Amino acid sequence: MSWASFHVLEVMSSPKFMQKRVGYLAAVQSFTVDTDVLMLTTNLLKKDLSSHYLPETSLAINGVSHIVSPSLARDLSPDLLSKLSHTSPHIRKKAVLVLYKCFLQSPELLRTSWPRLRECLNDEDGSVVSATVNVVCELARRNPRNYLPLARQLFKLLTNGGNNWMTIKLIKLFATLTPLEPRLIKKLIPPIANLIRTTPAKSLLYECISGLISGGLLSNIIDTPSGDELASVCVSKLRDFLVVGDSNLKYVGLLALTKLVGAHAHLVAEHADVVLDCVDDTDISIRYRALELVVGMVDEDTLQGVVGRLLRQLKRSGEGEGEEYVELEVVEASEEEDMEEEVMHGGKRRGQLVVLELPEAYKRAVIKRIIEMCARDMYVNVSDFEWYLDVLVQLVRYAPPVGSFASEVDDNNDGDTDSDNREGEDNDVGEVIGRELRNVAVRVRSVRAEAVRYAEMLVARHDGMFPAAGGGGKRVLGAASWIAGEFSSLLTDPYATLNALLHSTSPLLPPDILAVYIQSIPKIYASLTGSESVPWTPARKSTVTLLTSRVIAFLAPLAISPNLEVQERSVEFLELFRLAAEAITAQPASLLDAEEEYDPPLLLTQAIPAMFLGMELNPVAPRAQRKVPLPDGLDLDEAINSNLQQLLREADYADSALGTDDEDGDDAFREWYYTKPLPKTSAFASLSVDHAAAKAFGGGGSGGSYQGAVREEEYLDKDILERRRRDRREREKDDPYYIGAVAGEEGEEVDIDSIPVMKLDLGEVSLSTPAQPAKTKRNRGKVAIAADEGIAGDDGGDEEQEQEQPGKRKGKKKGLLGVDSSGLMGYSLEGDEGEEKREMEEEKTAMVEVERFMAEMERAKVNTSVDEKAKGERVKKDKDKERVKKGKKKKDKEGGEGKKKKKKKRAEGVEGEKKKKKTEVGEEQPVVL
Amino acid sequence: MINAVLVFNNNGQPRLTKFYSQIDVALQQKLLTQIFSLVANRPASACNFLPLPPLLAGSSSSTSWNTSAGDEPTTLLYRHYATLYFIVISDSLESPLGLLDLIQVFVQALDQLFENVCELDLIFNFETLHATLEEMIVGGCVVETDLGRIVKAVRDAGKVVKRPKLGGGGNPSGMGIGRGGFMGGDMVWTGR
Repeated sequence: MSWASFHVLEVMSSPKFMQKRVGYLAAVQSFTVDTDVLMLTTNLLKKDLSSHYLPETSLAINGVSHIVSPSLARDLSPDLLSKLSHTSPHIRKKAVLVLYKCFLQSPELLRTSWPRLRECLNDEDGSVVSATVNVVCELARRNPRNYLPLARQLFKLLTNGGNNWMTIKLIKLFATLTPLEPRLIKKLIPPIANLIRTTPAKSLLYECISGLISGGLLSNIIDTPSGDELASVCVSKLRDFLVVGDSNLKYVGLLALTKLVGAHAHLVAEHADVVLDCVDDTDISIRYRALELVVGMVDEDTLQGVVGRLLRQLKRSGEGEGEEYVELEVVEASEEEDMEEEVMHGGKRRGQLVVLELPEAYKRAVIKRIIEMCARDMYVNVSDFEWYLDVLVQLVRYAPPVGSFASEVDDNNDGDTDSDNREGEDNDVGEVIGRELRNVAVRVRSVRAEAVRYAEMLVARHDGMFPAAGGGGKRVLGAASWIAGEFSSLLTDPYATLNALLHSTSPLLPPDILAVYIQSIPKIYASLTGSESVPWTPARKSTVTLLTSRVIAFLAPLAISPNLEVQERSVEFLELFRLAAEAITAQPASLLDAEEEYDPPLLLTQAIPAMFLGMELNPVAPRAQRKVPLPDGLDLDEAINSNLQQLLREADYADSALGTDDEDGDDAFREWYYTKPLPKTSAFASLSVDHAAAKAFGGGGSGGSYQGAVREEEYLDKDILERRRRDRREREKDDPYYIGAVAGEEGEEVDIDSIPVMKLDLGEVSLSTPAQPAKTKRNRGKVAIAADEGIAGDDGGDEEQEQEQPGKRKGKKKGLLGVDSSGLMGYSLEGDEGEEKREMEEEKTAMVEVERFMAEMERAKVNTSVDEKAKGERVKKDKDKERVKKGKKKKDKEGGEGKKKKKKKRAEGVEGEKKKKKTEVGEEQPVVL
Repeated sequence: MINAVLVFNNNGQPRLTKFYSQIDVALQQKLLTQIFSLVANRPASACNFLPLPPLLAGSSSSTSWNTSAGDEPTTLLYRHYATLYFIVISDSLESPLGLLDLIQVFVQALDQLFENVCELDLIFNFETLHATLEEMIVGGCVVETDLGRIVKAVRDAGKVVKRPKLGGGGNPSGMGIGRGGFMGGDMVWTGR
């Protein structure tokens, strides 16, 4: 409504207060810093600020707080400062806050008005002090060092007690100061501990605890006995928050625990029981927070229990049983009568109960968190990788549908989940799960066979491997096919797997996955046909011929795929397989009764396998590639083909001749990078049958938890469990230490570890030796996890670069509601250090200059005009500097002296100034507490 | 600091939008819609904290919960009274529980000013609504939390026009009971 700006201004200047009020309201709501009539408001505001009618002054102050611009801030600051000593506390407190707004606009004001502002901390009116603390708190966030001298005063305010709001702010303020001044911690602990023990206000209690945590106080004193005690008091208070039944307290309690968990995981782990209850809370907000907390909290013992719980949530929502009910708030159609309903006293009506529907974003977050907590620190918490593989495969089934994501964006997005979700590739959690599967298959040799078997099943799209509807989790196929190809020697049924890869629906997969498929096909083909020992019988010849022609038939249409990656790979392999087909037909088979024996064609036994066999692939550190030294004689700037220009020109010509060709390429390019995989439901129609079966089983499985512990039956599907049992039995057969009926053990597994630890009862527990540490050690020893391979020598570079990146990214983005406080960021009250340095530098160069002039003067006796010019310049420079310093001196109540000095300086010659400058710089006092 | 205070009704129609930083009106409306869609289908038992809407979430990562340096809004909380939602967006320097309490004080102040405030009061007396808020929050910082002082300051600044009562709804003693019942039953947190 910029068209109305001037009229607004007119109403603002109305003599009637009620009209003025409306005018100000309009200005506050519609003016921005860029509004051009703003410069006309200066006098009006000045007049209103000095009005004798209090509400008018207050109105003007309020107006300034919204529309202040840098120039307004400069012009109005004297008026506002004078309001700091206004007789009415009502005006004083508002003036304090408005000054903060002015500082944001023009930071240099801070230096001149700081002494006045500081006095407001001693104001007799509580709310003025509170407002001042508020402002100092905001300022201290930008540059805490400035406010260390206030510590004593603030501390007094803290111990004197008073307004809870102010105490909260004081604690927040101290939390920003303590990192700079560790000595404060010792002083702060007693009053804060006292507050924690005595205060009835939950908000203050919470802020005390969170201040202790975020100010680093707790980690500082944790080793002393009193610190230990305080920490446990804090945590038990937070526990109260979680169990008291108020969902808000629960929420903030979890928030505080999340802050705590990074440094003191063991303290939080003691209260794992209540935290885990929050994971199952009916409120999604709380669930999100609990989920975040749990990730940091799990250790080797609790991991399986926690993951079990989370999986059970997914299972429930997937199969429509054991649903939780929540009461929806009543939302009624708006009618006039509704508007008349009293806001405060309106009767509370109960909403209807609805089934708690887990939003897809939440499911996605759960799956990602499960993987995050398992994979943390190179699987430090996972002791049983077969279990982990089972969980991963189970997760694929719970993968939420992909297609619905776009519509959900505004629906539910918590700060931490959405950023990863936005990237197109991560829409489907299948991608993440697939990455994990591949990671385990590559790193953990002992379960590789298992992983390959699962990959085989996934690729074959066995019934029930994927969710029945929605097409979620399909991206796991990329990793699965890679595993099947890379470890094709471990496949139980390579022929079937190859068939699955060559299935007629495969080309419909997203291009990046299809590219992996194309790469995997020859790998499996090689392991199927490459054997030298099997005689080259007619039967073998015909199977291989058939297989080869099938591969060719599969690849041929893909050779004209719009996707470059797919196209290139299929063209390459197509040629290879055509060669192979020729070789096969050329090589006569050795008949049984024939005297002549033929070897299988060399291309099959030697050439193709040689492409894929050889060195085993190991995990490589993400930045290892960068460290590979540049080989000698490699000049990347040198053109490989000196004819490049001409080739390009020809290509351009061809493109323009074809017209749309280029565009197609672009489209494919875009598709390859930006479009998400299409859900393909057609191929999975058969799955619903299995889904029904699974449902039937589930009815018995998750009836209720057994003593609070989570049993595998409750979250793993029947077929996966079946496989586990079979495996276990097999293992136990060979275990000399295992006594007892295998049959009896089946089905009724008894909890050994009881509730608080949330230990999942596994078969393995009953086999292991009673001593827990021994067991864990054994497990760890057994499972060898391959670490990243890198180039030895310089590891330091890695972290640096990684740290650098997020910083950069943060800098780029500016919050929507964020306040531009860049001017105040690091702005020092005492004069900037950088500025100081610059000044010194300037001075040095000036001195050199002056000396040069002097020398010249003496030597050559140049005419005086030059000399005077030099002097003039010098003085001008000094004047500028002087202005900056004046503020500083004012603070030290030496303003008058400064002026005198300046005058003196003007009179004095150049040499005199130099000395003065030096002493002044020396006078600069360091900040002392 | 507090980034914004919003009041809208059950249909998402804004009754008060106050942003303490200058942003485009179109963006304000978009933000409002997003917040409304978040808040509209919350169960009554759920906590008063909302996840950040996409517009805000993009700018701050999850880590900003823990860092005190960020200016980005981190907290979005609401309270629901009859037909109105009161929303506060703030950064990490404000106490979330304190802000919930602040909303309560705000509503109580309005209630005292209007004597049983309802949505219509706020529609017809939006100036008073703004004036009340201005007595509590100046430039994004909380300036006063004392109910009596807020009410007094607003009354001093100008008389509050009361809505003419329709029908025989205004039985003072009955209202007193209603208020008592409300305070006991609905106030989620009575800490301060």
